[in-house]
Amino acid sequence: MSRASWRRAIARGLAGAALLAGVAPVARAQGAAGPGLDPAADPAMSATLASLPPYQAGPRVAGTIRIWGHGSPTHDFVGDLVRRWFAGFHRSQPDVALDYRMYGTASAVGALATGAATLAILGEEISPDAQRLFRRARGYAPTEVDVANGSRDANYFDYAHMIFVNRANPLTGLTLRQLEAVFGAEHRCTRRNLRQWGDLGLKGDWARRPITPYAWKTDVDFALFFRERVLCGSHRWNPATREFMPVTRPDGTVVQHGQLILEALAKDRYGIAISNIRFANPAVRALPLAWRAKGGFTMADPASLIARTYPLGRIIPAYVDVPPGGHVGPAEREFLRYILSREGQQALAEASGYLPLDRASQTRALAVLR
Amino acid sequence: MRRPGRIGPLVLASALLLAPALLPAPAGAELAPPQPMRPAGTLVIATSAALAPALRRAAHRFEAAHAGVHVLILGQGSDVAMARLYTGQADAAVIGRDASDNEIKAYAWIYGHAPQAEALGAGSRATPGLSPALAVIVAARSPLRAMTLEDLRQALATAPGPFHIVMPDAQSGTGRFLRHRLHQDAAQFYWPRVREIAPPAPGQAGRDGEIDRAIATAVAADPKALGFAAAPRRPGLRVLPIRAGGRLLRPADRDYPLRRTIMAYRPVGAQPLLIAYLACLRGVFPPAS
Repeated sequence: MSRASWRRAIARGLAGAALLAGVAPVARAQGAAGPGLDPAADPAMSATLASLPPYQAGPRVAGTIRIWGHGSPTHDFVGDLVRRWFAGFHRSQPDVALDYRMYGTASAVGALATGAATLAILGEEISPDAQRLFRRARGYAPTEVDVANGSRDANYFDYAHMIFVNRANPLTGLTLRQLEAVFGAEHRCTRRNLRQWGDLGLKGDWARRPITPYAWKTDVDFALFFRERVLCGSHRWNPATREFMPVTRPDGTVVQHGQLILEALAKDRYGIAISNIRFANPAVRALPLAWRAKGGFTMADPASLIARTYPLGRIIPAYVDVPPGGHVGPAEREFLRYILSREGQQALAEASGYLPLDRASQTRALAVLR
Repeated sequence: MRRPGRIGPLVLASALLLAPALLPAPAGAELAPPQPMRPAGTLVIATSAALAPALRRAAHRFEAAHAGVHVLILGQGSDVAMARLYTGQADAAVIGRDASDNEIKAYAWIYGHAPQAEALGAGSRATPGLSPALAVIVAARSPLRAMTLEDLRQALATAPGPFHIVMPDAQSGTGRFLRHRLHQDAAQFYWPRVREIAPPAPGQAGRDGEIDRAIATAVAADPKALGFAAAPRRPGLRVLPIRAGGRLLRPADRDYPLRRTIMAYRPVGAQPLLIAYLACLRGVFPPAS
């Protein structure tokens, strides 16, 4: 490529950061904005953001951050967010370039493990397969830095898992361990499986009725979070579980599994289901959940998800490659410090569907970077 | 043609200043795949540690026959091999299993299409690490003489039943192969009947052999056990043939249904040199069915 054509490429906004990284020119996928929220309109969110310390630039650093992660061929879920992060960061750290490669979560950890990426921001928690891949390639675990909380109900922004029963069901709430006993078969963290509604305290006609669980297909990414958080890492689900996958209709439209699950539950008085409120119908009801019996039962809302008092909220992690005894790369460290700052979390709340970290989560994440 | 490294400082500075404004580019533009940066005549093949020696021997023969060609074999594991392929660091991944759905998705979301999959040959009959065929094993005193694939599926998934199943971890590569061949990829078994032998952590030596030995030991001690493992040669065990199409098929048979395949994954429209190297690998492995 001639000097003139490189200049043209730069002018078109296609080559800059990639040029610096010594890789091919990078174009960007469609800049579809996330369902940005108005933090000022939500008291929990505005209070959270106000509690976070602003970014204080560290020592001047240089280099190219090669970022892989959440995206897809058709939706650039976090393009606007990353642009805002980098623009804010770049004012304090002008010697850092960004090579943007958000092809999707499926390739992010592989890219980090093989050195193609220096920073991976996933769209969901890391899978056991991705952890194994990294360990096999590098001989140690990737270093995790939480950068956001998942959404309550925004598609593509890692919405919370919610537990539903038929509206006729009188159950008032469930703990995480009760969920394991209902949906699992191995009861790794509890004493026994629960298979009848009477096991959960329901009386009368309910007591001897078997519980029928409904869930996403149990070995796809969507269900891995539940497996890790609720089933204590066991892949042995209750064999009675009815599994659902998204269905493509003849006209090409896709019906999400979450909707199919709740449609099935609406017809089954004795069912219990994992889904999300975005798919709810009048015949089903979401249950309050608690981490443990003595804790408070809560529904999923921005406040409970940010404070992590709701047990099935999601966490959005970033990963960096830090060998044992080593340190996070200076440019990546500084960029992550910006992402975790008030400015970074404000941008996250405005330009994506994610929820910000609260002060406690931010402090834990910053501790990883020290 | 100028290389990027020779661009003047003014352009580099412009790029630095423009970088924030470049993200993202105009709507509708596509994120370009990573571009391999390898010298001409160099092939990088990523594979598993077990397959790497055979691929290196083939590479030496190939280099001897093709002057100026260098074939680099990276044997870190099948999952790492697929990652090197989709990040553009390898020209092909040669692995002893089918790529997982997530690996195909990772590639397809970068390149816009799935990688070209090519069967290079059959896995070994019983060598741990070299994609051995899965034998159905029972204790020598078991009354069973043969089973169909449907018999085996029902033994795994249906309650009640007379068998105790002993198998590799259902989420391991071998477990997935078994679920694919017997159970339409379903993840749900009748768990009270199933004992899984978990793989050790990555990097631990002899992992496949250890799992097979553990399964064989458990089956030999239990006349009701039905195990899935690389065919072990040890007293107290029998390998059950699989009945299919009026025939009794054994692990050494070419069309044995639990025989595995060595696969190559590469870009569609790969360079002729890569095609030629992969073609020479076909002579390394027994023919696939």
